[in-house]
Order: sequence, then structure tokens, then C-alpha cells
Amino acid sequence: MKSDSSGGWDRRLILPFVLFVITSIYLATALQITAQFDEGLVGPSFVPVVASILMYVALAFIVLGIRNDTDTDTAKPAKPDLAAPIKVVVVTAIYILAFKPLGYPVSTFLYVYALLYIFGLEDTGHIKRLVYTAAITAVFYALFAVIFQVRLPLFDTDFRGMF
Amino acid sequence: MDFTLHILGGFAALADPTVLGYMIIGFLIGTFFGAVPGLTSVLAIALLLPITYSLDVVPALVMCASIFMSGMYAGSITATTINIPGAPSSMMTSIEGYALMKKGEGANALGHAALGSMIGGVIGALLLICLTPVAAKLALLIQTPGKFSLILFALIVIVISQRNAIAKGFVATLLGIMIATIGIDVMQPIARFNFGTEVLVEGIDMMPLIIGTFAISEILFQACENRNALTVDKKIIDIPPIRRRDFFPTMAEIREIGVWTYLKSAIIGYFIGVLPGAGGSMAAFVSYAEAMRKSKNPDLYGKGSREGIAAAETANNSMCGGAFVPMLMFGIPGDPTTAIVLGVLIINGLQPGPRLLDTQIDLIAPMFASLLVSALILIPLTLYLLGPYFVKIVSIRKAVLYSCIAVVALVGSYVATYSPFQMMLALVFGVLAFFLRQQKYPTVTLLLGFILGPDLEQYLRRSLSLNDGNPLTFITSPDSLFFLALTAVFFYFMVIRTPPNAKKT
Repeated sequence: MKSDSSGGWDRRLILPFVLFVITSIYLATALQITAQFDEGLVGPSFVPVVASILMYVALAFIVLGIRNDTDTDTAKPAKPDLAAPIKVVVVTAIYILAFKPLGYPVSTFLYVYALLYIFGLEDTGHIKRLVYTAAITAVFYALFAVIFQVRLPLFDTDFRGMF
Repeated sequence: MDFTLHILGGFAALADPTVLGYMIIGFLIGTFFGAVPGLTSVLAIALLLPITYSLDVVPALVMCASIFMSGMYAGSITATTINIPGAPSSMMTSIEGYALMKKGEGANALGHAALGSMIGGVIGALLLICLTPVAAKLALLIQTPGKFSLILFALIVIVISQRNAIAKGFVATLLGIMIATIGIDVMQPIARFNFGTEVLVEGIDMMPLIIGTFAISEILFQACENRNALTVDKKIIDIPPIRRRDFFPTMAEIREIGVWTYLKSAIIGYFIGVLPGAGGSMAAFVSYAEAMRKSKNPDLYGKGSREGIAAAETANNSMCGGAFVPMLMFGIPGDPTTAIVLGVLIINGLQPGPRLLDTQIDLIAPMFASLLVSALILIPLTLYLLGPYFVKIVSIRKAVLYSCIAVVALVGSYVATYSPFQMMLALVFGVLAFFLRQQKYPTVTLLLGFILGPDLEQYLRRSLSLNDGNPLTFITSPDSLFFLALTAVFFYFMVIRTPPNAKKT
């Protein structure tokens, strides 16, 4: 399979390409590492450089496998519907950013409500979904804050100190 | 003698109501996670990891051991009842168990699965208790070059055991090693790969990596898969009610399977558990294949063979004991669950190694005892008490389930350092693991690369520093040579001698 039906890139090549870019950045950084004292050939940059080279070799095998269409594990995969995972990532990122400023109860309530919606709890009514949300928020507050004595943020008026 | 007394002390520790409570809770959590398709005991322990910060080390380890044992057993529940293995290690059980289920003998199949799990779990735990002191004595003989070669052996076996995806396993392992190099160097006081930021100077914590790789990626995967719960519900409706009295295997059935089948499967499972990265799936498959090869009734296989269920379930539960040996003695996890248990040890300040038995045996012994008691008592007890309701487990609403997992995973990530940065890291690793899983890259090898990478680098550099940079030290040192030769043997049998049609990238 040289390319997918749309005539563009084979989608299976995207991940090896991304890993190739990451490895290149990693290798470039590894080559700039300056040792505090000389250890000979095997200094602080040795393993990172070797790992990068091996990564290039392994990625080359994978790309060749895809191009020769011998990679039956992932041959002709159905186009995944990434809409739901993207929504989960976005709401999770917002939840993390809002976790300290809004506090656990509010941020978790909104997060769980959003997740229940994304995961398709549409056959239940609005009230029932709110009840589920409140119950999940309360149960895990009890688990972490009450049983395991974890200090969870409640509401932080200082919105600057998110990290 | 001291060791025996400590082990007995471990059983005594389980009599403490708090410790006993955690063991039972762990067992029930493991049963739930093992039984629900898509959830695994690995995920259960990953979610438990942040909570161990608030627990004493003994209850935490006892809980991990019972989750491990029950998760391995519980995979057989949905494998038998609805033909969806709750865990990959129950794939063989689903073939035979579901065939019996269709004949109206599902309860009997569950009984044989529980009996096999019980026998395998007990033998595995006993072998662990008996052989750990021997392994500790052997471990003391290994010097620095040997330690490097041992870790190299472990990493190579982990990669080549990904039979259908060796190159992908290699990439994931290297990715883990690369992530592990972020932060302070293992030998010199310099920061690597922090890209000018302060937050990366201390390196990447194991917790966000584990939670991201196993919990967040699972949530994203389920969001993408959107598995049709209605299909499962339809199957559940079709299941006839299960009665408790039908669980008990008859003596005639047990005689037909034979004591030797149980014993052989347990030994196979245990030693496959000792191999790094092999895990329960391989243990179950090898034992199942061996039982079929030696069976008096090979024609029954695929049509509801009780012998097949017994072999697979005995082996995968016996594997639990074996997997602890390399983790405790060398810090090399035998499978993903023990990789996370290793995290629990490290979080609690316990350093794996042969000295662990001398210095911290009072903390480790209750974990051994928990493995044995979980197998011997909790598996049959759970089947008897909860068996008739097992199939209801899978009817839980996925939206509620995964929302709960998301909250536990993210708040759990926060617990470690009280910083949303750890939560964000968990999300980043979760997204990375999601894409890796989508393309069939084994994410377990990423975690093992992350765990073993720093030791590999440290022992390599230390060996060379001690020997004036002479790489021949790895060949002239007998222990190192032994592991290098072992690596070559495994590589030959698992890669070169593999039939050409089985070789894939």
C-alpha cells in the first residue's frame, strides 16, 4: 500500500514521521550535551545518541514494512473517527487548567458532565445525567479528601498561580 | 529459618483487619477490572498507584498482589459467559469456556477456570516463596557488567516477545529509554533534555507516564472505539441463569484433566512469568498448546475442552508468582502489572535487589502471603458468593465507568506533587500512547524501556569506567557472558528459527 485511497500519504506513515522528527530534535540536543568530566566515549550523550540511531533504524524497518505492504497488522486500517478522542483531550486539558482556580468540586462536576455527554449518555434525561455527575464528583471527593486525606483545591481566587 | 519465620509473619500480618480489608478490597477491584472487557488489572493498579502515597507500604503491596491475582483470574468470567476475554490472558479460556457455555455448561466452565486459577495461583506463590531466597543468592553473584547484560537481555526478550511487531516493540522501548533520559544524568550532575525549563530538570516521574499510558490512553481508545454496549447487553439477556451448585467440577472431570496437567501448566506459567515481558497471555497459550499436544482427547479442543480451560487458567495465575522474581531481585518487571508494583516499591522507598530479602522482608512477606491467600481462599469464595452475578458486571454503563476512571486518573496524577503539571504530563503521555496503540505499537514495552533505561545506562557507563573503557569486560566477565549468550539463544529461537510466515515488522 503506497498511499491511501485519497492519493495522499498513507496514514500509517504519520506516526513514524512524527517519531522521526522527535528523534531528530532529541539527537540534536544530545549532541550538545557537555560533560562535567571526561568519561571517554561513553559519556552523558552516548546512550541518547545510540538510542536515536537505533530509533532511525527501527523506524526505517517500519516504513519499509508499510511500503512493502507486509505489515498486515495495520494494513488497510479503517479510518478512525477521532472526533470523540479529540473532544476528550480538549475537555481534559481545560479541566487540568481549571482544576486549581475553580477547585475540585466545580471543575470535576463540569468535567464529568462533559465526559458523560461525549461518551454518549444521551438516552438518559438531563436531570439523571446531573445526578450521575454529582454522585461521581462526590464519591471521588470522599475517596481522596476524606478517606485518603488528600488536600484537594476548593476554590483559588488567585488565577495566576495555575502551575 | 529466618526467612520462613518472616513468611509466617507475613501471613500473620494479613490477620490485621486493616490489611485484610485492603486485600479483600483489592481482590474485588481486580475482579471487576479483570472481568470488564477493556479494563485490566494493570489499569487497576495504575489507578491505585497515586493512592499508595496515602497508604502504608504493607497494605499497598498486599492490595497490589490481590489485584494481580484476581485480575488474572477474572478475565475468564466474561471470556466464558459472553465470549469476550476480560483480559488478553483469557483468550484460550474464551475458546473452550464459551463453547461449554453454549452447551449450557457455563457454570461448570467457570468452576474449572476458578479451580485452575486457584491451583496455579497457589503453586506460583509457593514457588515464589521457596525459590526467592535461591534467586537472591544467585543475584548477589552478578557484578556490574553482568547487571548491564542482564538488563540488555531483559529488554531484548521484551522486544522479541512482541512476535508480530518486533520493530514496533523496539521503537516503543527506545521511546521509553529516551523519555527516561530527561532530567539529571545518571552519573554526572548535569541536566539533560530539559530544553531550558526548570520543570524537566528533575526528570519525568513514573506516575504520569503510567497513568497516561494505561488510563488516559484507554479512555481515549474507548472514546474512539465506542464499543457497542448494546451487543453485550443482548448477549447478557441470552444467558441462562447460573446456579451456585453447578460451579463445582466433579471428581471425574478433575481426574480426566489429571493432576499432571495442572502441575505442568503451573510450572510452565511460573517460568514464563520469570521471563521479562512474557506475561499471562504467553503463559496461557504455551500451556494450552502443550496440554492439547499431550491430550487424550485433542478433538475436544475448540469444542469445550475442560482440560484446555484448566491448562490456560492454571498457567496464567501461576505466572503471577513468577513475575515477581525478576522484579524483586533485579528491578526487572516480568510483566506490566509488576512494572507498576515496582513503581509502588520505589514510591515507598524500597529498592529492589537481593538485599531486599535481608532488609525489608517484613514488608515483602505480607505481599507473598496475599498472593497465596487470594488464590487459595478468595478465588473460590468470590466465585461461590458472586458467581451468579458475574455477568451483570459488564452491563455497567461505559459512560459512567470511563468518567470515573478519568477522574481517578487525573486527580491521582495531581496527588503526587500537588501540581497540575503532572496531570498535563499524564494527558500528553496518554495522547502519545493512544496513537501508539492505534498503530499496534506495544505500550507495555514503552513503560519497561522507561523503567530499565536508566539502569542500563548506569551499568554500561559504570562497567566501562571501572575497566578503563574496555568493552571486552562484557565478554571476559563470566556472569555478563552468560547473559549475553542467553540473549543470543533467545534471539535464535524466538526470531531466527521462527517460520518465515510468522515474521512481521
